[in-house]
Amino acid sequence: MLPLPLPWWATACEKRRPKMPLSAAPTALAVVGLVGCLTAFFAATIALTQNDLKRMLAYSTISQLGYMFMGCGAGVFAAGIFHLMTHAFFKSLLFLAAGSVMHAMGGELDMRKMGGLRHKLKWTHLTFLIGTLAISGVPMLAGFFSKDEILAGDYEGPLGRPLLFWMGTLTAGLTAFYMFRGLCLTFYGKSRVEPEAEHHLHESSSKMTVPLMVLAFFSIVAGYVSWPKAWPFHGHEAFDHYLDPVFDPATKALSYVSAEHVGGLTPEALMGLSVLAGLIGIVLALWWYLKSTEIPDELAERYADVYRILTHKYYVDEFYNFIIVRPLRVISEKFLWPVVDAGAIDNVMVNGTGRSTSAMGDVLRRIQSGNIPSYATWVLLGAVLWVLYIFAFHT
Amino acid sequence: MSWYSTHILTIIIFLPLLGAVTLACLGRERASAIRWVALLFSLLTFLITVCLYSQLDPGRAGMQFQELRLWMFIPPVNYHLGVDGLSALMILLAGFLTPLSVLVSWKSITVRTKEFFIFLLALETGMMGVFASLDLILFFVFWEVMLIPMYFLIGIWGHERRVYAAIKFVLFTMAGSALMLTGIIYLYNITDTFDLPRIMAHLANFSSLSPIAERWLFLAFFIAFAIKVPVFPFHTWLPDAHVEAPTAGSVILAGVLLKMGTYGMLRFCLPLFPDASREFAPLICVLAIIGIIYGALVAMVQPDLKKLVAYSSVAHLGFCVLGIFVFRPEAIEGSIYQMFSHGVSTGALFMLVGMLYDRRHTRLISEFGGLATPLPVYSTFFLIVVLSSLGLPLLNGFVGEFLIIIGAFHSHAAYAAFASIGVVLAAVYLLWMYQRVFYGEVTNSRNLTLSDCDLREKLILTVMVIVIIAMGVYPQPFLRRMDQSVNSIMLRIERHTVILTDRAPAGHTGGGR
Repeated sequence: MLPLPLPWWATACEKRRPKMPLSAAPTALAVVGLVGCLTAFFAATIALTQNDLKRMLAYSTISQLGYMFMGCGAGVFAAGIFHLMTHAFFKSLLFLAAGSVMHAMGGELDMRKMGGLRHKLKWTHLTFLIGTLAISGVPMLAGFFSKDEILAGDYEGPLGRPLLFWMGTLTAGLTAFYMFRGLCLTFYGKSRVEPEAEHHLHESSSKMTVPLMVLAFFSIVAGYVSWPKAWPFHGHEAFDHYLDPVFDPATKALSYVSAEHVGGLTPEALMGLSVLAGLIGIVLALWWYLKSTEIPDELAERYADVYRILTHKYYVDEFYNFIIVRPLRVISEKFLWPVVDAGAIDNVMVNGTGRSTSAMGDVLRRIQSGNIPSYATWVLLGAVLWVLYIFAFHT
Repeated sequence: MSWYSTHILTIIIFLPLLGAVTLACLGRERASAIRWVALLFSLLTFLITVCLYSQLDPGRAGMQFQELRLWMFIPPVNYHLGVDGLSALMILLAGFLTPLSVLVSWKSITVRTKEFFIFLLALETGMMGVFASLDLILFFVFWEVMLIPMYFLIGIWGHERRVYAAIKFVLFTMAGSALMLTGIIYLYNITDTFDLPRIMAHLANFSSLSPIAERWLFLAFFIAFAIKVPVFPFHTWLPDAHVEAPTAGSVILAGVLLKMGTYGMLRFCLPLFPDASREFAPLICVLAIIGIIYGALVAMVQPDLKKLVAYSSVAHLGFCVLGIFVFRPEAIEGSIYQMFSHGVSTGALFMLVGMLYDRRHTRLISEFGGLATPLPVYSTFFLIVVLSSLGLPLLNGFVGEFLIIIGAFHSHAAYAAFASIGVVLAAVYLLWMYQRVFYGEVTNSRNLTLSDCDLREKLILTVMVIVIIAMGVYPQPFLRRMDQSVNSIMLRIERHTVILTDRAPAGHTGGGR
């Protein structure tokens, strides 16, 4: 967070400082949590079937952001921010590594045309693997700590609900699955690379690989700033305490409205469940994309409709295009511009005024005919009218 | 107290005119000397405006650097000049844009160069005079002085439909001015003076305007300014004038002339006729919001690049008008800030479009495509200016729009909601245009051989970008100097509300301040 001096902004907002942080309203947070939960889940389902490496990572990002919202929705704001931080490390790592792959493949990102790249792209592969392990919540890497804190908060936080926890855990499994799917399709197995591209497959220069290594390092260690309280070696959750000044008002407000949590699962059990979900996802992905690679294709055929909807990202883009983009363009292009602007305003009112003024001038100028006798006639006519007027109204 | 420091406003106003006279003495064939003399005079004027602005006392209310000379006795018209934070900022803007306009026309004006720069400098005199005048007739004189050079600039050095556009511009604006003159004269009949401070004192102390009179007077002034801004539906002169004008003409037109409308609203409509302002405010706010959204939508579907920028001006100035008529200090400050920043951003946009036109002699978006490949430096400048225009934080466009939206939200949340839609739409048409023009493959082979910015163009654009970024990152120096002006406007708006609620049906209230 950059400490920019923005006094003008502060002055503007001065009058608007609320008494209780808006962030602590239970209903609002429930909505936030729910939205986050749905986002995390649905985005993960989309990522399952994407063939473009970067697109998969993009939907993964959306899904992870859903996690952060889930954290806030459950009232454990610090956990949400913690996940923001760790996610920054491993997601940027993953994207940069994807860029390195793209560079090596000469601009190609379709995972169906990759495979076996780990031989030629050692460092890219290694760092991508670390990023994948981190995002999958494998213990002792960064993602594990942050994702776990969120899931724990979903279960037993101030506004936590079991629903959020179970959906979150399921999504964690999905996350591990699609990430390892991506890993396998890109780096492992038989090479499906096209012959022309095969020629210039090479590891990227150190300009590209060094940042990857730096990010990989942080993807491993970034989680240690918030060592869980329940663990040995004096868990201190330093990160949470660092953010206390920020979230204290909200947390205090929440302590008055927080739900009661009865018994249920212990923190260790929660941790174990999320790790288990991740493991299942990893194992499934390894099985389907390394060993029995015909299974995904069979499934895609059998459930063709589901597969189609997922690959087309639930047709959300098409929906927006249909409802918003195209109508706006058509209305503007066919109506607002030609009919209203050029037509009603410009043509009728503005130029119309001009034309009617000209027309009036056209008519009136005929009085100035240059024909002197006609002028005499006008004078006579005027004189007659004047006399009539005087006789009618003044005698 | 040297003569210079007591007459700084006179110098600012008439130095360009002196420059124009000097140019008239030069031979027509000495084009190079003409350009350099014009640049010299406009730069000098700019430097003096900077001195003026920095010497302005931010803590003092009321007009500063005043000059008063009796001019005519019957009727009592005086040469009364003075500035506060608002006027000084506008003077700074005009001073800033003129030398850049001279620079941008360096190579493109080859026919009748001498007359072109004479008109440009005369135009600058008019602009400075409008912002510095404290006498209504003097204001009107300079207001009209502004029109004629612009008419010639568009009509002679413009593009295909220049004559139509120039005549349309003059007639349209002049119709409003005629209305304003009527209002000025009526006001004189009531207050026996043309002097703005005296009129303001008169109206505040004697509440001598009947509500009906106030309404009509407000309309007289407002319609004149609304045509200038332009407010929907008086805006149709703008696309034509902007498109057909030469680059320097468009820059000055969009950068300064449009702001005179909003300046007039702040200087005359709100302080002199606060009750009528409040009465008409809902209607005006609605028109402003229509302008914002309508302007953006029509801009989106323009095939002509310059027309797109022209309609974007309608949209941006809609924000300014909205900011003025929600009557909140932060919104008015945002509006004034937006006036300045729009002048810079849209001025820069027109300069960029002009540079492209110099190379390809077309403004159609379909003729371009993939320009980032042959023109990387130009594309970068263009991108920064586009981002500024759409209100990206840390660039100047954001500050004004943000303050306006906050103020609007305090007034009516609905206003802010619709205005925010306008921000999104601005991103739509600007980014879509940028993508079609600069990204992707080069679709037209004629674009492959285009030359990137030369030193002169880089200089102009660098200056603009520095100002854009500086204004976006550190707006405080500008905002600080507006505070007193905004305060005095707010005082007059709010004071009259109080009087209104206390007023007995038939009589004066007798002030009591």
